[in-house]
Amino acid sequence: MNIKKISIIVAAIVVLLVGFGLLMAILNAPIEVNVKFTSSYPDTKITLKVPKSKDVEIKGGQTIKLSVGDYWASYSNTDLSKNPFLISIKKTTNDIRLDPGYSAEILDKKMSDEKDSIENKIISIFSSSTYSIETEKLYHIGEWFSGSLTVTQTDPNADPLLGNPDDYDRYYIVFHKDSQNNTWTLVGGPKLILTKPENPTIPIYVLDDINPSS
Amino acid sequence: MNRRIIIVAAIVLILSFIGIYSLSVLMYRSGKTHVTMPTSSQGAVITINSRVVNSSEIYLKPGKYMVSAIKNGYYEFRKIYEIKDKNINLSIKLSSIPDKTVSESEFSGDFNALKAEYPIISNLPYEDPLYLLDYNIKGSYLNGYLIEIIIISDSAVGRRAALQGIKDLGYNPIDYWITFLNFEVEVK
Repeated sequence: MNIKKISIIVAAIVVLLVGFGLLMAILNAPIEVNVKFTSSYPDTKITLKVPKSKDVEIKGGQTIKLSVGDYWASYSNTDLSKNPFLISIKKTTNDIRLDPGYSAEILDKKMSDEKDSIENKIISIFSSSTYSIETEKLYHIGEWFSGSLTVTQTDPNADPLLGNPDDYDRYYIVFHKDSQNNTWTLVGGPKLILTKPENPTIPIYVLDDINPSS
Repeated sequence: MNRRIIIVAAIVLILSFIGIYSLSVLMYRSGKTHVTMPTSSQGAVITINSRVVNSSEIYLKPGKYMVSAIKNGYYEFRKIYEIKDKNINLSIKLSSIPDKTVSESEFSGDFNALKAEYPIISNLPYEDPLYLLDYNIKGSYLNGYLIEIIIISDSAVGRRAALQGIKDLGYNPIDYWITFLNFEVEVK
C-alpha cells in the first residue's frame, strides 16, 4: 500500500517535473521569423554573425529564417562600406531594407570627381566673401557632401601674415545631390555648428561626422 | 445531399450580401461627387458642415460646404468649397503656429519635466572668461517646449571654446538648438 502510494507520488512528481521542463523548453525556445532582405544597392551581399553558429551569407532579395534577436552584419561587396551594423529582428519583422553606403576609397574617388562641380557651386552661392574650402567629404553613395569654409581674410588690405589662424570662424555646410538632374543643393549652413534639431533632413551620420567639437 | 444544400445556401447568402452591399453603395453614391481631402498634417480632425469626417475620401451632393480642420499646434483651417458634379480634391494645408521664446512667467509647462528632457539647463548659465552659455525656453503650451542654447562670445576662439565647453559639461552640442548672440555669419 505504502509502496503504491509512494510510486504514485513519485510518478506525479516526475510527470510534473517533465511537464515543467517541457513548458520551460517551449517558453525559452527561440522564436524564428521569416525575414526578407532587400537592398537599394544591386547584388548586395551581407555576412550575418550568428551567435554560437557559422556566419550566414545573405543576398539582397533573399528570405531566410532567423531567431528573434540582434545580429551584427557587414557588407561583403568590395565597393561597399565594411563597417559593421546592427540588425534587430523582432517577432513582427518581415522585411529588412538595406541601404548600404560606399567604402571610404570609393567615396574619396567620387570626391575627386565631384570636387570641381561642388566648389564651383559653393563659389557661386557665396560669392561675396574670401574663404578657403576645407574638410570636403562625401557620404553614403556620394549624394551627401559636407565641408567647411574658413574666412581667412575679411579685410583685403590686411597683411595675411599678421592674421591669427585661431581667430577665424569655421563655417560648416552640407550639400545634397539631386539624383534626377545631378545638381548640388545647399541644405545646411553655413553655420558654426549644424545641429540635429535645426537640420532634420540631414542624416545623423553626416552631422555626427562634422561636429566641430569632436 | 445535406452538404450540397448547405454549400448552395452559403453561396446564395454571400452573393445576396455582395449584391445588397453593392446596391446600397451605388444608391449612397448616386448623384454625389467623389471628394478627396489630402491633409498636410496627419491626425487633424476634419469637419464638413460641423460633422466630423473620419476618412480622407467622401461622397457629397453638389453644393457649398464649410470645411475645417484642427490640430494641436496648428492654426485652424477653414474654407468654403463649392462641390460641383466633377470629382474634386480639397487640399487642406495646415500651418503650424510658430514657436517663440517664452519668459519664465509665460512658461506654462512642467519645469521639472523640461529639466529631465534637457538636463544641461541645470548647469546654465555658465560663465567662462571666453564665453557665456545660457538658454531660452521656446515653444508654446500646444506645441510643447524646447531649449535653445545661447552662446555669447566676441571671438572665434571663444565660440569654439563654448561648443567644447558644452561637451565638457557632458552634453553633445549637436543635440540642441544653438544660437550665437551678437554674431553675424561672415560667409555670404
